[in-house]
This record gives sequence, C-alpha cells and structure tokens, in this order.
Amino acid sequence: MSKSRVQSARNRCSGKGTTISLMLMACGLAVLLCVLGRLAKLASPGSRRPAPGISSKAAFDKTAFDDHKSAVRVANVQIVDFDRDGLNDILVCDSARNAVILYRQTSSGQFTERVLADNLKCPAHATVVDLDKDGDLDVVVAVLGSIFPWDELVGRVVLLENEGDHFTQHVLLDDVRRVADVEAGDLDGDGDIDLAVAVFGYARGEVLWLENLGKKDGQWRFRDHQLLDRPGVIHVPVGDLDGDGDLDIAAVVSQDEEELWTFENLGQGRFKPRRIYASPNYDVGSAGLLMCDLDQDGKLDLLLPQGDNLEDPYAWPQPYHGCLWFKNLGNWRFESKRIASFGGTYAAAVGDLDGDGDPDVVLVSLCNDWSDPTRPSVVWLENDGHQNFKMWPIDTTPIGLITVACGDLNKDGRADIVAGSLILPPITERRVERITTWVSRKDKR
Amino acid sequence: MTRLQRLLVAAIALELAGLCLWWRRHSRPGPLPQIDWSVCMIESTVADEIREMEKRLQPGNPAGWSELAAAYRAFGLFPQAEYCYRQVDKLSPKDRSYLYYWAECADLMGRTRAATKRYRQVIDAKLSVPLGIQTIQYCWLNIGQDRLREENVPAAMDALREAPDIPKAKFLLARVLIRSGRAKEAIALLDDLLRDSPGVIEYNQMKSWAEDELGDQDAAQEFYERSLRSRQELSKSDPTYQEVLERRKSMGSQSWHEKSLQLETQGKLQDALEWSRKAVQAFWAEDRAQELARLELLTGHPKEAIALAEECVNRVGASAKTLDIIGVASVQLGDRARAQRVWEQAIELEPTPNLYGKLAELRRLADDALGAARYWSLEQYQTGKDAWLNNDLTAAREHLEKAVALYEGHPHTWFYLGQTRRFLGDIPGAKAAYRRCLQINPDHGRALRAWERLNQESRK
Repeated sequence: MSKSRVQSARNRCSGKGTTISLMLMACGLAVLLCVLGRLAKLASPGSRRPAPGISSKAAFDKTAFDDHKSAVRVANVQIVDFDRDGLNDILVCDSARNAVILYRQTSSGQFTERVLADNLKCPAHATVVDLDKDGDLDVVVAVLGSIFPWDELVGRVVLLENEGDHFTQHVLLDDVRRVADVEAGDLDGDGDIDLAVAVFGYARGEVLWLENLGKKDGQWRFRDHQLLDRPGVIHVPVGDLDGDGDLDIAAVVSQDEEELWTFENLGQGRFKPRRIYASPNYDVGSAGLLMCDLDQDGKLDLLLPQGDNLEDPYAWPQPYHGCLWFKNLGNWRFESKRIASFGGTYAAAVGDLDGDGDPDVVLVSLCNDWSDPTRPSVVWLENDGHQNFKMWPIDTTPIGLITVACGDLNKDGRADIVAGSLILPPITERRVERITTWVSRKDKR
Repeated sequence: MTRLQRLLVAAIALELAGLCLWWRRHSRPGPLPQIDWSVCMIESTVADEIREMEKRLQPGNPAGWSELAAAYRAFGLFPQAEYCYRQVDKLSPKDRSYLYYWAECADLMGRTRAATKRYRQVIDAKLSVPLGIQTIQYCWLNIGQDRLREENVPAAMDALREAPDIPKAKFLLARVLIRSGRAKEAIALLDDLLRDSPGVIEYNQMKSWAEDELGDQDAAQEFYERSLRSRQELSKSDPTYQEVLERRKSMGSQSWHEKSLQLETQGKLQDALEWSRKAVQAFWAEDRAQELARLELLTGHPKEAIALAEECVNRVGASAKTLDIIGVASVQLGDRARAQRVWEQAIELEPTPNLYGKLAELRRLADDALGAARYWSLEQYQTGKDAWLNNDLTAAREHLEKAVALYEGHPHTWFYLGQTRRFLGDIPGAKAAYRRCLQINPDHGRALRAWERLNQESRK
C-alpha cells in the first residue's frame, strides 16, 4: 500500500470519527435542550394542564342559565327526570336565592323554572326520592344554614313532600351544624326509606343516619343515630359496596382530616365503620365523593375529587389537586389510583361522553389560576376502556365551578354536562354564570 | 470538511445559541409578570391602587418593591410578589426580612421545595423577622407542613419536632402520631396543649379520637362531650395572615367601608353614611349593604333601609340580619304586622335571643300572653344554649330552667337542660329532663343516647 493511500484511508477514518463526534454532540445538545425545556415547564406554577386542543370524540353546545339578578352561588346541580315525562330536567340548589329550583325540560332544549322552595338558608344538596311512596318524587334537602365557614347549630334536613301542585315542607332534623348532604335508601331493611346525613359543620361535624319511623298525625318521624364524629363531612353516598344486597354508606371527611370512611351495613340498623383512606396531606382539599362502577366489574367504586382551596378567596391551584379513583377490590379492600391532576378540582361526574360504551369522567375547577384565561374550568377524562384516562379540556368559562352532573339532556344516548358556579366576595363576578349546560353535538363528532 | 459535517456544526451552533438564550432567560429574572386586568378577579378600586403603586415605584428602592410585594401577595398575585422579592434580594441582599414572605408565596403556589429553600435560609441566618423569636419555629412548622403536602411523613415529623413552642405544630404532630399508630405519644402532646388551653375544640376532639384508638371509650366520650361545649377554635392560619387581612382592609373600596365603621364609632353618622354609600357603590357586598342599611336606620331613614335590605334579599337571599333590619324599620314605620312576619322568618334562618325577645314583645303588645310567654321561653332557651356552648353551665341551667317554666313543650330545651344538669352532677334532675324531652319527641336521638348512657352509668 502506498503512503498516500494509507494517508487517505487515515483521513477517511478520522473524517468519519469527526462526523460521529459532531453527531453525538448535536444529539446530546438537543436532548439537553429538551430536558431544560421540560424542566422549565414543570417549574411553572399552578396545575398541570390537559392535553392541548379539543378532543374530536366529544363536542358540545354551551348554554348559560342566568337570571342576572341574584349573586352566583349555586351549590349543587343534578340531572334527573323529575316529572317522569321522558325528558331529563335539572335540579338546582341555589344558595343566593335560598332556593331549590327545578328547570323542567318542556321540549328538547327548552327549560322552564319552577321554584320548589325558597326559604331554605343555603341549600347544599337535594336528593330526589319517593319518600312517601305515593308514586311521585319528593325532595330531601341538606340545608347548610350558612355558606361561610361557621360552627353554629344552623343546619337542617328538610323534606319537600310532593303534593302535586305544591310541596309541603317538613323539618326532619334540626339543632345540628351545617348539613352538606343527605342521601336516601332503606338502611335498616324494613322497607321504608331512611336517610344518611353529612353534617359538615366547621370545627365539628358528624355522619348520622336517620331511621324512618313513618308519618303520624301529619308529622314525619325520624330518629337520628350517630355513625362518626368528624368535622367537614361533605358527601355520604349510599350503595351496596360489598354486594351483599343491603345498602352501605361511604363518607368523605375533609377539613383537616382528609379521610374516606365506609359503613358496612350489618343489618337491623347496625353499621361497621372502616377508615379506608387517610391522606397525610391535610391540605389536599377533598371536595366530594361519588359512588360509581368505573371499571364496570359489577362492584361500586369511589371517586374522590380533591382541590378545595377555599381557605382564602385568592387561593391558587396546587400540584396535588385532581381526582382519585378507589377501585373496589371486594372484601372492603380499595386500591387508589390518581386519574387526573387538575388545579382546584371541586366536583366530578361520570357519564359516557364519547359514546364508546365505557364511563368517562368530567371534572370542574373552583380555583384554577383564573388570571390565565387559557386555564380550563371544565375537563373530561376519556376512558380508553381499561381505565387509562386522557384529560381533554372542554371550556375555560365559566370559572369558579363547584358542582357538575352528567346525564342525557338531548336524548342522543350520550352524556351531557351541567355545572354551577359559586363566587364569594371579595372575588368579582367576571366570567361566571349560575348554571351552564354543555350538550353533546352530533354534527361535529 | 464534508457537507454533513458542516451541517452538524451549524446545528451545534444553533443549539448552543438556544442554550445561551435559555441560560439568559433563567439566570436572571425576566420582566415583571404581566397582569391581565380584564380577566383578573380583583375589584377595580384595588386594581387601580395597585397600578398606581406600580407607576410610583422607583426601581432602585428596595422598600418600594417590598411594599408592592405585600400588595400583590394580599390579592393572590403571587408570581408578581415573588418577582418583587427577587428585586429586593438583588438590591438589598443583607436585609433578609422579606425571605419569610417570599417562602410563603412559593408555598401558596404549591412550590413546596422552593418554599423550604427560603425557610432554610431564614433558619440558617437565625432571623427574627417577621414573627419575633418564634420566626425560626414557624419556619420549621411550615417546612413540616410542606413535607406533609408531599406525603413525606417522617420528614414532616422531624420538622414539626423543631417547633415545640408552636401549639399548631404540636397539634399537627399529635395528629400525625395518631395516624401512625402512636396514640399514646399523641396523648402526651395533647395533654400539654390542654393544660394551657383546656377549651380548644380541636384539642379535646383529637384527644377523644386518640383515646378511642387506645380503646378507652369512656375517656373518648368525655373528651368528645368537652369538644361540644366550646367555641374556642385552633387558629388555622399563619400569624402573617393577619397582615394580609389588614392590607386588604386598607386598600380599595374595603378601606372606605372600614372608614365608615370607624366614623360610626366616633358618632359621625352622616360622614359614616357617605363613606358607606361610596363603598357599596364601588363594590356590592352583603355585609356592606347591611351596614349601610343600619346607618340609614340610625339616621332616621327606615324606607331607605328597607330598600337596601330588600336588595340584599334579592341578591344573596334572606338572612336573619337582613330581615331584622326590615323588621326594625317596619316598626319605625308603624307596620308591626310586617315586623312580626319578617322576624318569624328570621328565626327560621338563624334563631337569636334578640329576635325571640322582639317577637315576644310584639305578642305582648297584641295582648297574646301565651304567645309572648312561648317566645320569652325560646329567648331563654337560646341564651341558655349559648351559655352551654360556651361551657358556662351555671348560667345555662339558670336560663334553661326559666325557659321550661315559661313554656314546657320544647324538646330541645329539655335536652339541653338534661345535659347541663348531668354535667353539674344532678343525675335525678338530668333524668327528669331527658324523660320530658322524650315524652315530647320520642325520637330525639341525642336524648335517647344520653338517657341510655345515664342508665349504663347507674348500672356500673
């Protein structure tokens, strides 16, 4: 081999080496830039954001129900066919009007307002049930008594007994602290409807069940039994958690304890309490509790939205806000899984939004970073059928959403959404609506 | 150099430029984060004041940045506040009084690691601002809380133990210990706290839960019942939160409302009325409108007071306070029937001795002795229950006994009388009261449970 050929071969080799070094350097720098970019994003304040863009699998038409007279202080919304005419209606607890209001759907998309009661101080939740078993639906109302944190004995449970053209009020429980929820079911197996009660209070609260002893001389008789003393009980959903045919109770304790409890029905009005979850993060802000079979395995699971940050009016979203799914493994064992991180999550609802046959989840935010107009206030979690959820934004307004419900409002077989806002002074009422619906749109799917 | 190599060199040069830009952007603070006032939820008078402060700011003056930071922080503009603290840090690095507030800002945005870094700086520098000698211990408390927010319980416990003189830290540690199956250790801490403040609701409640964990049901019941007879709550907010509240009171239309209250205490009612009106016009809030209505009443304008109170009802629903204003104004206008109607509505929302007393007086004026006696009884009941809730059992018994003497058909009065007599050691008296309560309402759950407990105790 001649000297020049050797030199040329060496040059080729060293040229290759230089190219490889340059390539490695370029790739390394590119990776470094990506990592730095990602780190910068992670360090940005506030909550994680959902996937950019709107999912093509679910599109909605938005409508606001606003009277523009009263303040925006809706405590609860539900979708229910109250008059049993085949069209779903919307039941609202409006704490600015001290009222329980039915928005009756008269024809597709048309609603007329009917006030069922307007003298209940801050109704927090209304449960629709045929309590007197006369064939029409009555309403049991959890009366908070004060929208602001207060520990006085101002709570009540009030029955609005449906008499056809009017509702007769019966106080079923009083001289208790702020009542946040009442749920109905035959808890002692005697054939009548009893009630589970969440007394939120403030520094003190409790879980009660009210034993229905029937109606005598026009007066309903309910006897209260205490199941737990804890402050900040928000919701007490009732359902058969262990599949033994009777109704059990679950309860979420917020405030400073941040616990989930279940009460196993042992029959004859006896319950066995179990604390199934206790967060070491006492600031996590549990905001509600939902019973649903998310994985469709025949066992009721629990959904826990976390993001109550109402300690201060100018609260910020926190990285731990979002939604936990407690999968029911049977035998009173539950496995928790975080299915969403979403700042200020205050309520969750379950429904099949994309019509693929599995349940999706809708979350609303009460206190996201509203100084950024791109922050979503409503998102949905698309279920891939194996309970892997992808978060999609639905809307950025109205803000300050505290309650959400899913149900089919337009009879297209898909879940629609209704949500309510709650704004307290000194926060201004910008970009808010009392009640908003997002009805699934067929044409843009 | 081949073409590929030239391309690679160009790519590297571009990437290096990108890195330089990144470094520039992150090595020094960028401009003050902009506020989009059109979407901001702060009321306009406050926004105006903040904008004015921004205009007046001299960039070289650290005190000006601190002042602006405090205003931003009070209204939830934490990124802006943080930017200001960074400026103070640059301009006046030796003055570290801002570090604690800077840490708090990071905390409020959920950036616990960044917050801890600043708290550690306060600890390392042994600062005594802003909370005096307890500053360091408050830093440890906040670090402990941050670790709990990260669900790092052992680190939280270590931090909380560094704040032995802060009751909240001790209480939090007790709570964590109970959760960790160490209720006995928690009880020792709670006993310490109860020695200093026997009436705090949360201490008694937590002790009840700890005793329950240890299986001592009697002790659990005793502390549960103690927790019910108190109104003394454990303060949940940081001491610096008071500064935030004061700042809010001093800015925007809230300052006008505060000025009105101050003028009223000085007896300058007309001036108070003017400032109150100005505050309500700038930003309507129920408490402001009620205050204005009250001033209208005091200055002899009942019709105006009624109009303002009615607006409250329309905007945020009826409340006992609003209805009371309508009642008093109605009496001033000679409309007693309306006064009775609204006061009756008010006691359904929030019963107070004052409202019952007024209703009793109206019944007396209407020659309804029975009705008057019933309301006076309820006035005594409400006063007695208030005393009971404040653990003043002697006063409670006095009022509740007066109440049952005036009207004996109210089950709750008998229940509270039973409770009061029991705690005062009058067991036969308590039994008689519970019995009467259950005769009137056989389904009174609390009376049934108390009755059962008394019987159990007498069987022991």
